[in-house]
Amino acid sequence: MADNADHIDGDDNEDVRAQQNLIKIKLKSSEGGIYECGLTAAKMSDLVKNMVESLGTDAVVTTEPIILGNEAVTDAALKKIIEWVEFHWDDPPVDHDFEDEKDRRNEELSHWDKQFIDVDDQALLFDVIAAANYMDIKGLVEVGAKHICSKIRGKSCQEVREMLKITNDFTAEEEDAIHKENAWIYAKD
Amino acid sequence: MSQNNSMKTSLETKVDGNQDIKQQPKLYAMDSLDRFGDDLFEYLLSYLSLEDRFRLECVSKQFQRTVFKSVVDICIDDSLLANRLKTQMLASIAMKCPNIRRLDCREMTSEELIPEVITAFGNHLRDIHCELVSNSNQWLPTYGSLVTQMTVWKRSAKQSLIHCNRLSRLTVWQLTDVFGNTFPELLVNDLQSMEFRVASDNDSQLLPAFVSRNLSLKHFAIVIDRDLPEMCQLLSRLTQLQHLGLHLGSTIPSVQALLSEISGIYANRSPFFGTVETLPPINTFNTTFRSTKWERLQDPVAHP
Repeated sequence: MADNADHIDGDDNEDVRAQQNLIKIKLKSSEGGIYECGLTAAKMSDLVKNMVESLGTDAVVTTEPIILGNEAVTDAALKKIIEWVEFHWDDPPVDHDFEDEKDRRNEELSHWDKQFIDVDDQALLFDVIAAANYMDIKGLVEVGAKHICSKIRGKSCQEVREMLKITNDFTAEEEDAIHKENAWIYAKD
Repeated sequence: MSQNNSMKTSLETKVDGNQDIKQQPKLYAMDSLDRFGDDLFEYLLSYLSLEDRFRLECVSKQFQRTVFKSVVDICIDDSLLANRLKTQMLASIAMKCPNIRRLDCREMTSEELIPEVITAFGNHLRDIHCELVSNSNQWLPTYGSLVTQMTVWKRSAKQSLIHCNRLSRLTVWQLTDVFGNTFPELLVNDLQSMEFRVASDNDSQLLPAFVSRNLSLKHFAIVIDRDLPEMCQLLSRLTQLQHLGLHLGSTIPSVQALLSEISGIYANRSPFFGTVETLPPINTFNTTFRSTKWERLQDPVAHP
């Protein structure tokens, strides 16, 4: 009996989240496009969550779109972001007590996340990351960071500059000096 | 090529120019990593390995500024120390990574190097994860208060444990390893996680003494080598416990009885039985069996 009571409590929370996700709110990109998103999913963005909560009732939220003014929130980026939160809104919460932060950091991305973030258009990829950062969706920024790090793992400086279109602002002398400081990297026995 | 150019996503504060917070006049392509401000840039590079960080330091000045800041944990192991320039390496890591807080040297087998490694990072450290080794009495008096996770393999050095007053996770061989030479001197208390691997004759005397000073345990993995109901009852005092591991030895006369005893303890913790309602349930419960007695069980792993 007691166990049941506990379970109902737990299911209740999930039910509420599932039910709330049936409520659709509108998000407006910086380009003016308006897109629907489940309420629970949209609240994965701390920015949206705070805006919704400051508005008070859900009724208001469903009529007026929430304006995301940052220029990184393009139509294409917002569509990607909604796809991500709609997939992840019912993820189980992280147990900070027993999941070592270090283990979590070392965790590989899921297959779904890898496919999701492997975007050919690098401007769109960076828009998604910048927009997720602006909207404060920590899980998605983490996916972006892990993706970038896995792409440049083991690459040379020149390869990284070409891939990520980074301008080298060091002089040749400065670069040489850094190489000397880090000579130990190449001194493995 | 992208035609869309843009300002940086966040303002850049220059370290040398006196708080030059003017927005950078330069425009950045949207498909260039240069578009990101330092904070996000630093986070995006935070999943790189230590070696990649040093190798890629000279990609750009923004890389150099940000790539080392997110190094908080450092794990020093044999492969890293197998370096002809290891003194230069340690100094260079300690200098360029100013935010290192946790040092893990449990993977180092060359214990004579531990003092050198700890000294290299000593000034920044908040946590050390290490093994208790034969030279621990040289460095634990100084750095013991930084040790939060430890594995004890050199039991002759166990007396050094008294220096580790912030220890929270401990693995030992036998329960006797956490007691001083004169019983009941206990060398550790207020642990959150404790494991021991082998039962000893004195356990029925040692376990109550250990438990009463370590009521904060959340993770407890122990060996029970004989049928000791009072030992099981002790577990009910651990109100914070979330993970319990029992390794049942060969001399347990009745595994079934033992398990029902344990189930009983946790059944009593449910609100239905009218005891404390705020106790969290056990999250995981593992048992392993060393004897062949498990065959007598219908269900070898019970979930209380």
